[in-house]
Amino acid sequence: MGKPPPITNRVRELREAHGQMSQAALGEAVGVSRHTIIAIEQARYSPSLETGFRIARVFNVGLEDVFGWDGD
Amino acid sequence: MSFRERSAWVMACTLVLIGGFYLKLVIGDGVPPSYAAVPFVLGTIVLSIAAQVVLAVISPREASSPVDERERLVIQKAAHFSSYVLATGVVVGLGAFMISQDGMKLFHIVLTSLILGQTTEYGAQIFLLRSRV
Repeated sequence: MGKPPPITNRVRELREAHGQMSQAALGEAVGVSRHTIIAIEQARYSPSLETGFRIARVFNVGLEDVFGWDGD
Repeated sequence: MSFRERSAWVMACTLVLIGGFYLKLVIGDGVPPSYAAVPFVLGTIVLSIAAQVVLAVISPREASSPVDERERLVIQKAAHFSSYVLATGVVVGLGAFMISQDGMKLFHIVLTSLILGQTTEYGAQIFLLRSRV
């Protein structure tokens, strides 16, 4: 499968800290499917900038509080 | 398993089943394509529609939700892969026709490429939905 993507995220951690929000609920809030949220949490998919911002807004934090850069 | 993945599995299996049966008829048993083509097309359409309806009844909410950004990317990448399979088959078919002047051979190669290309597309969708896009 190759190297993991350089973008890391704390989506699962933030979701659980927000009253154990379900993946489906987060997906509905940002306009993606539950399976896409699963893929994001498992670092199998890096969301678009728009979706990244939407996720950050759901948790009321900044983009860099949700996503990090682990590349060169 | 997501609705999209289940849908891709259904389409891949439909194509393998009916496409394989069609190819067995025309290549294996020598049935003229004009006789086998209509049942092939009708069979593919009916089976795929029936299966998609069943999937939609099982997961109505997922079935009615629009394709999201990740699924759209998966579909695009899978279509890209399948285009190589189809193009290769068409080129091979054209080469075979130039050598043998056999139009039926060209027809069979192109149709087989179409079946393989579509099967590749659905197989690629399944793989990409499960792995990293």
